[in-house]
Amino acid sequence: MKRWVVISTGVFLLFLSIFPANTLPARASSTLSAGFYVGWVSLVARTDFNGTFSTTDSQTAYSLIDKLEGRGQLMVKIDNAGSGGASIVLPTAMTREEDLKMDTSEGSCLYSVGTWARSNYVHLRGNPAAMGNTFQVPFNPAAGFYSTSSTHMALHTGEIGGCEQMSEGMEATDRDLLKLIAAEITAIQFQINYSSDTGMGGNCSLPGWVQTASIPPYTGTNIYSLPKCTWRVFKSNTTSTQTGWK
Amino acid sequence: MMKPSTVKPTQIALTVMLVGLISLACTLSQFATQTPISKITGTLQPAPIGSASAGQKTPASDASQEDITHPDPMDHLLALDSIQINLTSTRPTSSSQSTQIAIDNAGNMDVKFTENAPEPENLPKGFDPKAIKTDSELLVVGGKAYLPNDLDPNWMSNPIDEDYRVTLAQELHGMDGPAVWLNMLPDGSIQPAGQDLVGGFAVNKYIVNGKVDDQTISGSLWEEPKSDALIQAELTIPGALLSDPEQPEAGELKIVLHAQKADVPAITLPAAQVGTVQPQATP
Repeated sequence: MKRWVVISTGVFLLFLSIFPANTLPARASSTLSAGFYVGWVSLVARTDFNGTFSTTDSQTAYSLIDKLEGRGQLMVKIDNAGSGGASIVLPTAMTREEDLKMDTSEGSCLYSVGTWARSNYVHLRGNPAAMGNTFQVPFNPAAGFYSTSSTHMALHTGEIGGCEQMSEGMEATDRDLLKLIAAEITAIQFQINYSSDTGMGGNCSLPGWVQTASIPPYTGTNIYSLPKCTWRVFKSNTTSTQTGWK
Repeated sequence: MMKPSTVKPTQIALTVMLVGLISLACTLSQFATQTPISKITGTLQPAPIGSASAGQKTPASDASQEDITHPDPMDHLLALDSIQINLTSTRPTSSSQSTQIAIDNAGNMDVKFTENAPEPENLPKGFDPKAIKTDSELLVVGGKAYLPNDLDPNWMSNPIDEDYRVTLAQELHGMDGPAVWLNMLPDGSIQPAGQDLVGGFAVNKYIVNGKVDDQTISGSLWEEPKSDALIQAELTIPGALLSDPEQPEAGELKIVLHAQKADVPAITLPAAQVGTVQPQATP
């Protein structure tokens, strides 16, 4: 009986070596498995600015943050020839938060403005094109943009005037400015970092987004960054032309 | 004295059978992750409806419309009248968002979005996080969406979306809704579990239990068979499916959908300012 156990164990180990357990997906392969993939894309893009402006009679400190957070659906289709394309449905929530503090000999003004907006961008896959380790689709969060809410607050000391009015004016203006910032995004590029027979994914980027800019007349740099942009899709077991759920 | 060990023919046969079983198990496990091997009866099959449910913002070939234009039970829910819908998703980070939709008997909608309050460090200086309005509301009349806006006295004359039903359907098919995850599941992952009564509807209940990339998506669905509308859903999606497989995120995404029949008051727009035209709801 002991020999039977030894033989069985040996055979078992042999087969384990032949049929290894499912491993993590391979890193980006040169050939992508044909099929219809469904999954998600998630991104956070932002701008950060801190600057100052001085005159003989005043000193102003200004800070501004624009933040765009998108979470949506990504669909990829790859044919047997390795060609394909992608569709996205990508709702984006956007915020703009700014603070200004001005000190003059007549007093000081401090105001803050917050603006919130949303959009939903849809791009449907076009004719199949060659798929490499990157693919790009149009993405414009300014399309379908609408402001959802905004608020402002202002405090002043001394004889300085116009603080409250400036804050109110900026609340209305910021809605337009936030849309202009969103309009700077025109595409999203997907980098395939890993792929397997069952799915693929990786990082994404917004071409032209990461940059620096100035906001005259302030000193300082407006930094455009992309702290997060990831995606992952899973091979659908149904064809894309089927409807309903299993 | 030790008993001499010999291998009997029956033991050899058992060994061969064991090898065969292991081989079969390995082969089946590979099929299980790659190819569906079974179909169930009593599936959620959408009733055919006349129009596609998705539009497009950018040009694309007709062939690509197949990606998102096929109505599913989530779309059929939005087609119901006199109903209240609440869709809430709680992410692994514990942040959450919810969408509340009231649809009156004319098909007009009141849509509210609620998100977590922003983190204090992301707020302008001096702002009280509790004072920040994190919800927004849209009125949908005649299919067009209007955003009540204190800064625009004529907001009721300026729709922000000409076909909001399409937009809403697309948003609810995002990663915080149930549809995208149900689409990933292999055949056989949704099994009938009898009849039930929820939200004033007589429904068929289904148990969800399926694997995507070795991660189990589980929960329950309740479908109204006549309209093929998804009336209720409770889904749990592992955080690992929301991240790079080599850096799996802990926790879960929980999606809860509840709909119920309701006597929703007629949803209309306030009177427009003089000189503007009041939009009319279309039947």
